Amino acid sequence: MSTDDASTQRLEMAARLREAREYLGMSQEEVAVALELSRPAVTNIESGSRKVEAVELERLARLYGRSIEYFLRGEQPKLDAKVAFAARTLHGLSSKDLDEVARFAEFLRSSGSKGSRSKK
Amino acid sequence: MNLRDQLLQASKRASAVLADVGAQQRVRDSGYSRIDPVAIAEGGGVPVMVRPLDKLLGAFLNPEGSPGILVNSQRPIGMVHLTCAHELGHYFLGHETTTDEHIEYGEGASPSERAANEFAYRLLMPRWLVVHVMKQKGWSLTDLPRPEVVYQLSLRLGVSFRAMVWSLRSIKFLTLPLATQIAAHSPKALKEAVLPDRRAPAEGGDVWVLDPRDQAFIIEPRAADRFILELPNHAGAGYVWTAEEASSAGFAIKPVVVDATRHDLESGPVVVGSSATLSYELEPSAAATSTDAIQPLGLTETQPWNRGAPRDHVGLRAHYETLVEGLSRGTRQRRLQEAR
Repeated sequence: MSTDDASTQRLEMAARLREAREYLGMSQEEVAVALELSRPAVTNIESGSRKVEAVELERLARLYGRSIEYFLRGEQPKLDAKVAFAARTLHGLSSKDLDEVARFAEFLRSSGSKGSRSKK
Repeated sequence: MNLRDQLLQASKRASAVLADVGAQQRVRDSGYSRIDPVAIAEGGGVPVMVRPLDKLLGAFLNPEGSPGILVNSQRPIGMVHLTCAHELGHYFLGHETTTDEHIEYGEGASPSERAANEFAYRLLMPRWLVVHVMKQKGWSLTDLPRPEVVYQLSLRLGVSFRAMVWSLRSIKFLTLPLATQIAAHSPKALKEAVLPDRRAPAEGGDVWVLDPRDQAFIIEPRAADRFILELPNHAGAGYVWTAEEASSAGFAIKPVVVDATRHDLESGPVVVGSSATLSYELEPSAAATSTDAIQPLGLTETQPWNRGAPRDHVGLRAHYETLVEGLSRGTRQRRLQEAR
């Protein structure tokens, strides 16, 4: 992997991390306190100007309820689960609403209160 | 189980949930007059997510046994509360995942939707709460045919005007013909009628008509809301109402210029020049509307030239509802704490 690729990947990951935090309505300050990082560290991670350690990424992924692979490579959860869910319960929703429902379902699935507690 | 039994069960479940969270005690002791369905969900470990949606009012999701509630931030706040309570109904009644474009279901709707609807009504508008608010406000059953009274009641319970009307019907406080007649009024027109400039607030904001009886409550407005204060009038003896500097930092009050505006809704005779109340408009500062804490508003009635004790004092309390997109506050805080 060239340096350019690495920096592109870092920028993409930074954008995904910011978007994931904003989706949950968390502030950088709140995330910094919860993960024992400094506020500038969170800001810099989200602008791509600071490298993210593996341990940090794991904790961020757990907090945000998404997989590490998603943040690294943008891989979405398996589509079949999403489609099956949609087929079973949804009829004539706008694609935006469908995305919102599917996304929250994925959040609950991957990080339901049970899941995050049993990991401790 | 037949429909009748399902509705009865939903109603009982709502009462049981209210008892579990000590709702009656909270209302009696604190002054809050609303049941908070988001807090009930959070207390039960059910995450609540607030998002801008197109057509959906909300959804109850339960993937792999991890329940959650999604609500649409782009709807009036009364509707947001009702939707959350409706989805909570699906949860407490053990229903499957469901998405709701409507939550007010007619007779043709599925039993589970009607049961969730019944749950929502009983949760947010239990008979004892309606009675409590009416008593504090000095309203009796004979006041309820006035749509503006029903609208003000709906604000104190934090529900939509129409849901309030039908709830009053279901607890037999209104007859069917009266309820039908009241429900035909538009909330927008009711708002405009009490404002001096006749302009309903933007973004579906509400208009609170407050008087000294509201000292019993902690009102829960939103940033776009406007306020008309009706205070006893002793202007003939030189008394004026002013905000106390020490205890009303977030608000300014200004007299509403008297014209016919206040009287065209009322059926009684208009007494010119000696009305028992004076109207003021209350204007919150930007800081006040974004503060998540109870904010006092103290008003005194004094003679400007007389430095003696005020004739009267009114102390109101407001706790702004700040609905922000993302996980609900309690859900978010729990999650952040668990990450530590």
